[in-house]
Amino acid sequence: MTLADLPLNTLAKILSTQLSPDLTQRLAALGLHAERDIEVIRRGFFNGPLQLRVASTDFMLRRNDARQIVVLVLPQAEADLIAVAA
Amino acid sequence: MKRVALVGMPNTGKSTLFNRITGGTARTANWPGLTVDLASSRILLGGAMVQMIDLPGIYDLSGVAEDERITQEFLNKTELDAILLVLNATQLDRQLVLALQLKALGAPLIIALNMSDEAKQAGVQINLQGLAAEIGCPVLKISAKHGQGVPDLKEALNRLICQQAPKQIALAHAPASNTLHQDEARLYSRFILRPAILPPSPTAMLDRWVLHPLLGLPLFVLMMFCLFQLTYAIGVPLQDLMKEGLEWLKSDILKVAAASWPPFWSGFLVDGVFDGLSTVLTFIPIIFLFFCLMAIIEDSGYFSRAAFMMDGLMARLGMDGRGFVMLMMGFGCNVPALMGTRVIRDRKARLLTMLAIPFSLCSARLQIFLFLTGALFSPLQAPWVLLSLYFASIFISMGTALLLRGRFKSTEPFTLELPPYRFPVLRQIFLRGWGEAAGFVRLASTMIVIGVVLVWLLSNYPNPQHSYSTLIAGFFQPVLSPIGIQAELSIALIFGFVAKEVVLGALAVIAGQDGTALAHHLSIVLDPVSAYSFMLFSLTYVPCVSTIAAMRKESNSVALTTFSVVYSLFLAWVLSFIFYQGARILGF
Repeated sequence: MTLADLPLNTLAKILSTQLSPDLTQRLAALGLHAERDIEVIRRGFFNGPLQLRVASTDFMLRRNDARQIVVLVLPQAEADLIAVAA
Repeated sequence: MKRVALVGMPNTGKSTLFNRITGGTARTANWPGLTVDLASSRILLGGAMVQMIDLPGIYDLSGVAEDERITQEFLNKTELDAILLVLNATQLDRQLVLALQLKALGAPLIIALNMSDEAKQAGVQINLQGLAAEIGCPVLKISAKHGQGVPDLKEALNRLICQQAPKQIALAHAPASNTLHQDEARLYSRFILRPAILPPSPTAMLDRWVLHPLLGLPLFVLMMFCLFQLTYAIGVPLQDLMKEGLEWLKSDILKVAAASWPPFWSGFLVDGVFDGLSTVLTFIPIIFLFFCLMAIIEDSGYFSRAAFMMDGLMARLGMDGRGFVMLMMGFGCNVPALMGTRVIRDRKARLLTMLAIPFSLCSARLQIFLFLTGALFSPLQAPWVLLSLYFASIFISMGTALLLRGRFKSTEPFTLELPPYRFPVLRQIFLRGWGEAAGFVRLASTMIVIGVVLVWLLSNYPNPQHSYSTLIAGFFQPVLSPIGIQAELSIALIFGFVAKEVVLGALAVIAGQDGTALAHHLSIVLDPVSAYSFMLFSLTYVPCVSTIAAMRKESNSVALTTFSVVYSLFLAWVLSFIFYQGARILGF
């Protein structure tokens, strides 16, 4: 699943990214790199950017860029999702 | 002289700390070898003068992004007695990496953990001694906003620069940040304790309304509306007061004193130079207020929310959300909006936004349009005519961005932090407003005075009845008559270069009538179609000499400024031509 498709308020881990080196670096500086848990807080309107949260930092990322990031939903979060769906 | 640079990520309160330490006496000045201005200030620290330099925020010392280059170049080229690293105490999980990078480079380092009051509130506990021992440099908790810990920080800074010889670091040897993430995580888990579950923050609750899918946008428009209203409710009376004062100075003192001077010099100095200076001065209240309000919006955290909301739309135009906020600001006055584009760190994206801003229908142009629509259209039509001009304005700025976006492709890695909402500090707000107004006077006044003097010369020589401006108006007649603008009005357009506020005054002088009589006169010489063509032209061509000066100052490019002037003139003509001829063909 890519970050763009991640349901709201669901913790996930980053598996891989295919972004430009400077954006990768910038996101890492904001806390978004492998080993960190990430969640999507909300999606902007007009197909706007995503509001992301990593630990203590909130930031925005455009959907095009979010599509380049592959994430894995954390087991606990997945269980919660399934519970909600059921 | 000893030299200390402040380094830190954006949104760490670095500039607040800089102002706190220096007492708000910063001067922005060009730094040898760098193309941008840096804020620096001299302070007395323990008996010696020390130069403090506030560097632009940097995310990663080994970063490759364009917006980090200035700080990198500065650090590479300058011998420093100390680097004061400012970290946000609530975000150490991702900011300690800068400390590790600087430590690896052997920098003379001192670390200030800013916003420690916020960290304490959030229940974050930091082991200062442990961190200091592990990193091998002084680490202090401070709150730049409230001043806590700043005296201790200055003392520690003084001790550090007395002990060590100045040093220059070579960033080429900086370890890549991704090799340091594990060390950072280890450091964090050893010395920082953060409660596992946080109560929902006030920010999250506010965001639910501010960024609401349906309410967010109306709230934004309302906020902008209040911003304008406030700027004008306070600014215009101040501006009027200043105008009156200057007018009095001119008529009662200068004119009297100049009576005995040779006519050329009295005209040159009183109607040229003095009027030019007056133009500069009357901008000050608006710029001051605007940036005070802007500081509130930025420091409160709302600015990045507005950018978040508008980014979806703006991305399609090659700009980003921040550009939209600046375009909106341009509806007030283009000059501060151009200056405000500094928040866009990528140069190309910034230039594109700067090219779009002069088409925002500013309050000065609004005056002309209010007068003309009132004079030529029925009370029922007038508001719609005005509204159509606003739409034209938005359409032209966005169209310009769309047209030029290919040439100004942003290379900025676009992501924007959404910091928690904070109460702005009065002192910071004032310093910001004051600093911007002073900067504007310093850098734009020469150009504005020259512009005003030039128009004065053109319109008074060889003699006022047959001046160069009449000649120029005559010369342009073949160009302007196809868009329905007669010679009389084209002189007003020439005056409009100085400031759009002057256009009505110029029309009054040319027609020899004022107020209602002028309105009546215009309703005879103009019909609605040619009046609209005139307004469309006024909307689109160069807003004023102050805008040109601001663009020149902010873009640091004569080529871009020239392009903007030529492009807007050309576009103004084309649009008015299409409108005027189209309307005539349709039989209006």
